[in-house]
Amino acid sequence: MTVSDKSPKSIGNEEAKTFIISGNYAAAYAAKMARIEVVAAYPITPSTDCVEKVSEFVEDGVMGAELIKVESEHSVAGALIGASSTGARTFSSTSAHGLLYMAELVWWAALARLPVVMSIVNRELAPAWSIWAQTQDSMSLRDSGIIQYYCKNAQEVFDTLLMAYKVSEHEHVYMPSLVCQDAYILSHTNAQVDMPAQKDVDDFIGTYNPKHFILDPKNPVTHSNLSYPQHYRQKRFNIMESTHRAKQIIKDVCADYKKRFGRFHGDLVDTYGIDKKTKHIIVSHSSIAEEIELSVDMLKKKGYDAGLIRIRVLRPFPDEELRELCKNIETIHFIERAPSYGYKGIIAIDTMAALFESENRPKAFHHIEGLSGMDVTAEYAADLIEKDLETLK
Amino acid sequence: MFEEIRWHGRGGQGAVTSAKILAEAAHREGKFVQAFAFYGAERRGAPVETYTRIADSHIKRHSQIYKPTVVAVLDPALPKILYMKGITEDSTLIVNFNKEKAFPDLKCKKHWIDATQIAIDLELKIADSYITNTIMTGAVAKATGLVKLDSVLDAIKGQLNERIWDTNLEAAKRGFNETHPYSKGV
Repeated sequence: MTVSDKSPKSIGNEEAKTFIISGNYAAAYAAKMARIEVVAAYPITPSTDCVEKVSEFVEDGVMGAELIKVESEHSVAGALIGASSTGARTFSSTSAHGLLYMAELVWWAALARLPVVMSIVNRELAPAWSIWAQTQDSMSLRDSGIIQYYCKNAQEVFDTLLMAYKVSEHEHVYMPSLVCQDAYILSHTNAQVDMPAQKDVDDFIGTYNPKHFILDPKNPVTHSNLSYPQHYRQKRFNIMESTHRAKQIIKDVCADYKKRFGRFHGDLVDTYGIDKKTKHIIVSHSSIAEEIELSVDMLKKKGYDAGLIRIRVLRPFPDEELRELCKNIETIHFIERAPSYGYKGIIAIDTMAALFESENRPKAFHHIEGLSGMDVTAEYAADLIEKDLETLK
Repeated sequence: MFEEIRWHGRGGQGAVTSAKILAEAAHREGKFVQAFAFYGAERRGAPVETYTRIADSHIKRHSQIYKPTVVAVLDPALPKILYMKGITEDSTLIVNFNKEKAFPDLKCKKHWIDATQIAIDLELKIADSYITNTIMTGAVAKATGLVKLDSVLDAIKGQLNERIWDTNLEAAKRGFNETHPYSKGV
């Protein structure tokens, strides 16, 4: 028997309902409606509200999860790995130093193929101490195999968490996920979030019943023992294959979600204003990208054929989608929060590599903006693009 | 419609709740909303800013508010320079003043309300400081017409604990009824 068979008695809405809540609460409600079985928490600003809300749900008896209080983020990930190994659906939320402190075990969860899902509030790293938005914390874990989603608003955080479980627990994936949102800009901004009825979420998400071994005292197994190169190699090749395969599964799950709930935030990428005439593409991510949709409108009004690609999933990386969307464009403009020190923006590095395999090589412009949650207003972003294009005249 | 409301108060005075109440009131009238604050090191008594956005369609803006259409000041002793920034001739400024002559010299639509006196009358007090947040939501509804008083009252019930409904509903009603336009015009 897996823990999942216990079917926790979380109480969701009977009817679809709209709440005005923060991104942190959106994540907490999604965890409740996904009928999480185990939550481990060591709260850190600005993700604190999420696990606080979850503990309130558990305390009030409306969420049937086991809440484990631990002494560090490293132990949070340890607890989730242990719980997930028994076949339980697991959840936590963290930020910045919390995520990096658990980095070793993020890799462990990925290499152990455990579908742990966490809500990440992207925050700057110290020193100097900063609590505001930046995405290096999670992006620096992009090589671990963990699937990474970057959301543009609280509604997308809610929807994506539900979808993340479905993708992570898919038998052709079995990899963990991070669902990321910007510190304060989303985590502490209250906005409308539509939630489906609990029974519809249950129908969509199902229960986690792994097809492989699980930790069970009644049926003991030895695992994660010394693995000789030929076996270890095979396991890693399997991960490479599964993470690539996850692309199609993410697309399918997003399409299914749209069919059931009428909401679609893009799949691997989200696009805005792109058509056959588009010559200039802006590539961005997270909440900045939603405001840049307004920049695209402004640029179009001024006669520029501009469009936007929002990288919604950073891993697995949407390389084919980018080649297809960029095959006829003249310029590409990166506006992103996260630099890889010593090179360029993290998304730019990956996108340029993808376009290297394309016939069309657009002229690229790089902008690192919004560090430490600095505003990137629609007007400012539109101005950046205009100035880029003036240099070509 | 795209309205950007900036609230000024001090840490502990409930300006975050003001922003949320107005947002929920507008949501109840079918509008799209955001309610947020600028967060830093939170200190009781330090000046704080919070914000509400109200629009007819989904709000794509995530940046701060630079040109507020409405500014509401919860505390009469806040330095004027804090809340004057970004105000244009079209902005509406609503300040918790006990007399209109205290207004700063700037061009905009001005309204005043003696919210502190109402708080004293209703004993709206937390840790020895008078709380004017729900009074000011009523005042904003009156001065701007952005939302109906009834929606504000429903939103207060949605946002606050039932235990403190009565006082705060009365506070919002008095805020609505006792808001005065600045008599000397713009």
